[in-house]
Amino acid sequence: MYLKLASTSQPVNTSFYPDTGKDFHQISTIKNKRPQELSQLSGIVKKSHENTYTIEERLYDALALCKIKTSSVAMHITNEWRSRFFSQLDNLMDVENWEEDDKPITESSFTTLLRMIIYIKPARRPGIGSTSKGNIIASWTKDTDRLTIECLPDDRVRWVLSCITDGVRETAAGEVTLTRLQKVLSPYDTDRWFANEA
Amino acid sequence: MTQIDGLLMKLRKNSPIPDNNHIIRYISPNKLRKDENDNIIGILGEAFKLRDGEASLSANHLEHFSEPHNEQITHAVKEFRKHFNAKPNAGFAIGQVCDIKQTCLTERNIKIYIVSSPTKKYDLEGNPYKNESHVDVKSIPSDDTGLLDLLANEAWGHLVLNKAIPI
Repeated sequence: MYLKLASTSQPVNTSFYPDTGKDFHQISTIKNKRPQELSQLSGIVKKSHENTYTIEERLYDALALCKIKTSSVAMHITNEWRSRFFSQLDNLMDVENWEEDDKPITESSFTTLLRMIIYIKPARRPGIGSTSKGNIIASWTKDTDRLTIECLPDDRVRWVLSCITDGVRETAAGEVTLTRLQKVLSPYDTDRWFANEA
Repeated sequence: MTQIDGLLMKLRKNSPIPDNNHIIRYISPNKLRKDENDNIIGILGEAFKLRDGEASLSANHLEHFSEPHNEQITHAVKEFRKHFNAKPNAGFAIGQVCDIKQTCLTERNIKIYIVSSPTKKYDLEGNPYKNESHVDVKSIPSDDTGLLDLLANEAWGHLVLNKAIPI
């Protein structure tokens, strides 16, 4: 049964995608492997974070994992969005920019980020940063209005915003699950952050 | 006030830093606020969160160095570089002591302490020396995301990029 499934599944045609990031071809090769191998790779990458690898190795693993996970939801985002997002990830996890004491982006936090992106569908990509514990931070800034969201494991997010509404500066913060995020942000006209500039 | 080797002010350990003085803190690249095209546009509140095991935030006292203000910044950054390999895309956050304290007091009714804390360091070659300009910022609540965001964008939000300071 498995052999039949394996023989009929179609490999991803990489020619559909523009060159997106320095590891693009390697990721495409990995994606074309069978699902079990991909799963095993994810396990290996996860395990490597726990061992005493060099910071370069840990960053490389974390970056590869983030790109693989992003590629797995490629149907939800445009090629350009993904390509530029990969470039942001490259910069964030460049060893030249990374403090050795900081933990590389964790899989659980990055999964929450991807699910948030799919859920709120922002036309504008966020700026990205990270915490010392390996949580990724997404931020949108429009003039002096700012929205910052730390992605926690298990679909939880910690958000803080500051914006001017009807001439008055408002600040707010909280921690919610992804399913509640849009609801709690809705009083603040999130289009100011998420919509592309005309 | 006595000037010794370009140093203008020397405070005893735990002396409060005067309200009209300034402090400067290193901000790693992943804690800088960026736009969607990776342009650096500010500082994330995360930059002022204590790490596990830290009791206070570290910073340097600008007025420890001789004026003018721009020279003080350059001296403070060079002092930092003596013991830490600052990343090219990192930054330094500068704030006035009274503004930082007042923000915590007004917004959260929290009194924070910014005190001199000369610290023994090792330079990049491993030689010991004393960082006389080091200060501790005590009692900023690390779990208050809103307050940290406010500090990062207002009272302690003046950003100088590492690469803007000559080697």
